[in-house]
Amino acid sequence: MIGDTAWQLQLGDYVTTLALSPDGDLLVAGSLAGDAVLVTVDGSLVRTLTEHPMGVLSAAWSPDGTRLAVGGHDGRVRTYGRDGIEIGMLAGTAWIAQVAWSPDGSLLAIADGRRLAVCDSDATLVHRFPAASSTITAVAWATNGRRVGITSYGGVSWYDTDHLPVETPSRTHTFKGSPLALALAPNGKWACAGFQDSSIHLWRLWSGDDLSMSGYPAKIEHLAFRDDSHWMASACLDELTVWDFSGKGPKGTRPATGNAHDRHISCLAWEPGGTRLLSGGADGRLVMWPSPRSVNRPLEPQDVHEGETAVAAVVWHPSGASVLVGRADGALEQRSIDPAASPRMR
Amino acid sequence: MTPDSKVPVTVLTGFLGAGKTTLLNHILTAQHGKRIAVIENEFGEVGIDDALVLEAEEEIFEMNNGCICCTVRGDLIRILGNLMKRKDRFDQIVIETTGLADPAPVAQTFFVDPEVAAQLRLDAIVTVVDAKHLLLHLDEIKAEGVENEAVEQLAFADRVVINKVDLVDAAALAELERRIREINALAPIIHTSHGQVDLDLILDVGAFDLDRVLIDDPSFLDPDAEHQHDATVTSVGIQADGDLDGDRLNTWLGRLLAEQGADIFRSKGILSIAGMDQRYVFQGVHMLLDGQADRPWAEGESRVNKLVFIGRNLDRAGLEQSFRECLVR
Repeated sequence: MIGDTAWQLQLGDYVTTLALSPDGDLLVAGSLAGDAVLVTVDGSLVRTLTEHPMGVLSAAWSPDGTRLAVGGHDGRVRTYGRDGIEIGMLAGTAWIAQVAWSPDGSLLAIADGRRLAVCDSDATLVHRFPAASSTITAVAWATNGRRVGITSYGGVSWYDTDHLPVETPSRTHTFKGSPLALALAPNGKWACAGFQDSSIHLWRLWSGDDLSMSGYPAKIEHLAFRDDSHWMASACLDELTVWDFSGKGPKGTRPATGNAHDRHISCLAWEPGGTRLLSGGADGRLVMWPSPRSVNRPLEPQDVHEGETAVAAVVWHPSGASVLVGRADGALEQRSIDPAASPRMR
Repeated sequence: MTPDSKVPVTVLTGFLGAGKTTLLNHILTAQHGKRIAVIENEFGEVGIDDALVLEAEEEIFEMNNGCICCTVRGDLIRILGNLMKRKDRFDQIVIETTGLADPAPVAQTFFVDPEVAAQLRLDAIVTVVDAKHLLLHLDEIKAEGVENEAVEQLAFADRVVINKVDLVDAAALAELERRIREINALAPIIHTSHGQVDLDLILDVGAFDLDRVLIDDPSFLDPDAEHQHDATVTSVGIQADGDLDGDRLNTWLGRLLAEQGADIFRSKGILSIAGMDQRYVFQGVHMLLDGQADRPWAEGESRVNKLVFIGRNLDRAGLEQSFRECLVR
């Protein structure tokens, strides 16, 4: 099912970020060596982007696919057009590990150390928010695009962006602990955060009713919702855990779990509009998982592909016919994927 | 990844002006052929072509694991995680803390975070003190509930470097050593001036390696050997012949750390457990403890239990008595 390499490119170091344009035609990839490339999905180079000394850490396409943002260790974030020509640059003060476009593409949210900044698509600063309780570890926009959430020690803070400048969060979802990841259900009903102290905490949007899912053996750094918000996958060390978010949510339910990695899972990605989940691991494996049929039963992988070097990042082509994989040694590859046996959801 | 392939991490603590930066520069410039990465809190004057210097902003997070004193450095988890992903491998990492830093969150980070623990090993906490000013810092009266950081940094140390020894006379130095010993009876003390330390004494010494736990029989094990000051932070050594009842030991140690873990900065032990052919070794930082079976007791070697606790308001007699109750009678 996970096929051969269609093409391969080499970046300078660990591939930290991969982002595919919404139409699936253009890929940006960056590494800890500081190099970033814009390539077509067929692997031909469009342009080498500006270097970020000490490492590229983040990249994102605007939802309409006309703008690309890249951030790095040097505290800078740049926006580009589809031709890879730089449009603007914003200089921050800390590692730029998170960039996120608002759903309408008008604003780019940037985590600059403890401070959230928003700029427009030309990288012109619109507003810098007050310092958060600690370094911001994740940024996500509410589905209506009018509110942006950040995680820092103690929970999630939400800022309304309709009438900037604002200095105080419109909502705070608190949980004493250090959050590392944030995922919003695409249906807009849930916000989930993975924590350093071995738990996932979730909040109902926007009532704020909350729930903790503890008992994990270690920190939670990877969370991913299926497009229809039915399932949310999480990774903890080498184990995959999938929670049922249909109906009233996972309260009182048990997750489905999958074990097919020998070392920690480094990335998770659901098939766009589909039912399959791909996980990549430090063991070099790519594992294709089906959605659970029922919870509380081990998930059996559909396919396991062994690789030589650790998987660092994966992204699906929107067609579901291929995936792009970045590895710890800087290798970047496209692999074909057999169509799903079961029909896709849309 | 085997323990040997884990990159050693040295934590450098000490007051501002004690000579941390001087020592760091010595570490970086000495001819040792090692690739060193430095994580600094106070952006200092180190700048060596072959070294990587990263700046950290101290972010201390409490952990929700039921351990009241368990804090970790979130910034270090992030920076070390980024460092370990790079192809560029380092032979040694040095973390320099701020002058007023509590070493506990740094040390606990290596116990708590699985990614850090898998690739790096905490090698030693090296505390640099200034021969001329240490006593002033130690004797400084703090408001109720406020820690004396100089005392804490000494209590946590695996190695104490007394810098600027050229500025004091022999009598003053002896008094200084006595005061340090009173707080921390375990850490070897190294004298130097201008930070010129033999690096083999402070780098890659394996102070946290369970298979290198070593407790000599220093005089502090005898409570009458030294007149006891009224210092609140002290070392308590216990030495006892005989075998321990494993269950009773577990209960005792578990309860001790649960009740007094916040006050016990460091603990180490080599134990003889009934029915076990091997020595049992442990060491801990506050409530976090690592323990394992070590080498077998040698032929003719007497099975002696040795433990050391370094902490605040320790009740020597009470500790010794409750420990002895774990012995098989």
